[in-house]
Amino acid sequence: MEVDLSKFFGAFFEEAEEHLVSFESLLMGLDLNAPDSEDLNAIFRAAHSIKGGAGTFGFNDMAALTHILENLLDRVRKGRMAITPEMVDVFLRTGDVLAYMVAVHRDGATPDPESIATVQSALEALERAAGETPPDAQEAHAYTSTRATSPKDWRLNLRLDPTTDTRDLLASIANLGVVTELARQHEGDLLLLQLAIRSLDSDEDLRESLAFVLPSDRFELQIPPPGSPPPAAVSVTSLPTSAASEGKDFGFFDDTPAQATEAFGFFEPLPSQADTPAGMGDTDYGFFEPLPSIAQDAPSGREGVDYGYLDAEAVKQAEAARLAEQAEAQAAAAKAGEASKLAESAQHNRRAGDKGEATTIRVDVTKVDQLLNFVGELVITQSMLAQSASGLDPLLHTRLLAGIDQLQRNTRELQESVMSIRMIPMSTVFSRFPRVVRDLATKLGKKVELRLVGEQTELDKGFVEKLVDPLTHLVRNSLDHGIESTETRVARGKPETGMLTLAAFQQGGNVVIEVRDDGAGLNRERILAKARENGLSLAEGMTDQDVWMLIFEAGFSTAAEVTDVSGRGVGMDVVRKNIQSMGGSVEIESMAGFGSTMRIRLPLTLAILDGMLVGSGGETYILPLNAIRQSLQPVAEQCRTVNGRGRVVQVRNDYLPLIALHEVVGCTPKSSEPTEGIVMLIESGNQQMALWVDELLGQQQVVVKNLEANYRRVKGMSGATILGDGRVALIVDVSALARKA
Amino acid sequence: MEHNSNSREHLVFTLGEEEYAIDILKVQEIRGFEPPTRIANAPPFILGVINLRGAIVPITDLRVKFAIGEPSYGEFTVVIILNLAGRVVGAVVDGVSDVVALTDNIVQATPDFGAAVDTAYIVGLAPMDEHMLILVDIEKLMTGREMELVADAAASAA
Repeated sequence: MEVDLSKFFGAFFEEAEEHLVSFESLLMGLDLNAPDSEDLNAIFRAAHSIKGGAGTFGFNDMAALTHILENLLDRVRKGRMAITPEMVDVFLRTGDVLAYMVAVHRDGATPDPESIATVQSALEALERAAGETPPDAQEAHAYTSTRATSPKDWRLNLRLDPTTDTRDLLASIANLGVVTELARQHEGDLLLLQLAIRSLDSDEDLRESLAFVLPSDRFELQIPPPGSPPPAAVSVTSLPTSAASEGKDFGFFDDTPAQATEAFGFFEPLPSQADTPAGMGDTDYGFFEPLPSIAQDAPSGREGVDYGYLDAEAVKQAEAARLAEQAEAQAAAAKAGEASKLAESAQHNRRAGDKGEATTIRVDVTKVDQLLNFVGELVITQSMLAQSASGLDPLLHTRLLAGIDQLQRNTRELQESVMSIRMIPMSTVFSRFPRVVRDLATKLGKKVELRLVGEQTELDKGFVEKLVDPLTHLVRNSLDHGIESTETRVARGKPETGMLTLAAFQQGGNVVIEVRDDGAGLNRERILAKARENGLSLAEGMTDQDVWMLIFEAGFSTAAEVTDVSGRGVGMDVVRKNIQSMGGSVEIESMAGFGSTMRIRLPLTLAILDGMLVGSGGETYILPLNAIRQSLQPVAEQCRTVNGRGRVVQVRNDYLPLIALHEVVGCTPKSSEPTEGIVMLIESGNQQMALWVDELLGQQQVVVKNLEANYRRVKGMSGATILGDGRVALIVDVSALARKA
Repeated sequence: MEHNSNSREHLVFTLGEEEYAIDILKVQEIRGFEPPTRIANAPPFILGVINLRGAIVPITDLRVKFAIGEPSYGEFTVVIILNLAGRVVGAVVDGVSDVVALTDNIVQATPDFGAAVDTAYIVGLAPMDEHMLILVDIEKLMTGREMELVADAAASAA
């Protein structure tokens, strides 16, 4: 049976990325003076999971790197090594390299070995510095294919079709760990196969991996019965016959016992070993210290699985060593039965805990969107029902009307719940910033403390992804230009640590995200000078607000010199463009010497738009509310023509181009002159214009639908929506109007 | 078709005096006419878009397209909702009259009308009692360039 693992790569990459994110955020949150053991464990687990996955899917370079990382982390979490800021640095860099490797593997390419080697040697240096590792342990670390530091034993019962090619099957299972065939018999038309498997993977991981290879009703994974001797602790030479005679249940060994027993000889020849239940009861990892000389002989090489580091010399040594250990080991085995019961119950507890964490499911976004569509329809149907029921006599139709009321409540609640599925907390965006700020502050030699406020504020998933870049840019800007160097701060009588705040909160139908710093603030004179230099037209006596907005102009950088932190790549103009493309806006507040605040305002969701319903020629159109600045009924003096054709409206001191909506959509207006209708001042990008409509019909939240699904793009329209009466209304594309103006 | 006796169901509709037949598997549903929302700068035979259970569906009027009959819209006007390769499109016709099974061997080739009618979309003619049915390849017609229903067609027309 050929198993193409590549189709599962996507899931692995996604998971690895998640693990890396939590790895990083946990490391960042670690209090180095008093590290929380729970956190240390979680960090270790993240590294461990990545390693397991990488090994399973054959990304051996990643497995090798995580292996070293894991070893160090393991020592840290057991308190045998104190964590230092240097270690955190190296760990973070390792995390970066791993993320890079994930990205490269995702593209099907091979990562640059140099960058891997750099962090690898840094990790190894840490290991050496720790001084705990016996020198020859390095070899064990170099021996990368060993995926287990302390594997567990499982019993695997397979019920197979007799035609199954067991060799292939065993080879795929052997990827999970060291496999020994215990029994094979035919029963009816089934082939029963019993295997002993020794793997580092957890119970669940094993099951999952097995499910790739076999239908779930074909295999059964068991913890070996308590009291059965752990293989490595049993003498190869003295026990095989007795083991075999014990039959199926105890038959850890058949004609190839050596494989099982030698597979992972990671047992320390210490008397204390007797206290630890060997191998099998091991719920946690690392009960056993790797003993390198034995590790070397990992004879899985004999099985022809890609472990092949077999050294005949080492095997002999190991064997001699093992014979010497046997007496102790057997004593250990005697206690193992007892201890394993305890261990088992501990494992049960842990699994129950795991269940509590697994309360999320992964769902394709399109499914959620589809659900949202259906709910949208339901809302429309419900409002149509309500509309037709409103004419009924309440006395005659009490129950029907009560039902319709109930339906309305239920529909609204359902809609809210479905909408909330798309919403994810801001913490997913914010969580990357501790790292960004830390790295950047170090690079710039500034002391900065980052405060995160309102991480639980929720935002549409579509925004969250697009928000990262603009926000990163704003944060970099604040760090580079906003917060002063330590000396300057001290000279100005400020605390030497600068304060950067990322805050998110909800305000009406918007989510507001602020980047606040207590730095120098924007420099009005410098911005104005730069604007003049760039040939921007400047009005006399501009307000501060207007001056600040200048920095969003293209090609604007007030940085005295271009550093590698800012002044390259995306500019503030791109930030503003990105935010506007999400239907949001950016504003700045700044006070010289006290700092500045960049404020991003976004609508709550992409799928729903705050719209102004306008009428033109009896038809209804929707204008995005966030584009509308003002609406007015002009007097004749305000309306002028240019060349007898182009119309402009004078608003205060500006002449704005006047576009007639009825001309754009091609209908006959009810108002023959702008003075009879309404003129809306709208803004798109940095362009202002006036739009002439017949009437304002009201304001409403609308669900945005695209026209392309069954039709095609319509010029001048950005989409369509369904109104409360079930009719379709088109949404005007304001930026297209701007191009026309 | 390999077997001449192959019989397939067709939906028969009328445009003015003429009777047309289309493959019934392309028909999603038949519903009454409701005034669609007009779309700016669309050709006259595209009446606009309607809300079909949450989907925005364009409505064409084949009477206008082929200049047959008088386009009038009332409570008996019928819209055939077609599902063509995942795209949903509505077509207004004068009436839907029947569902018939047509075997391929009764279908006759379309005579050459010259340039007056584009026969590219007409599969053939079939006698049915006293009438003549015009078999139309509705998918080819609706996704054709001149219907301007599909994006690339519109782009090349522009």
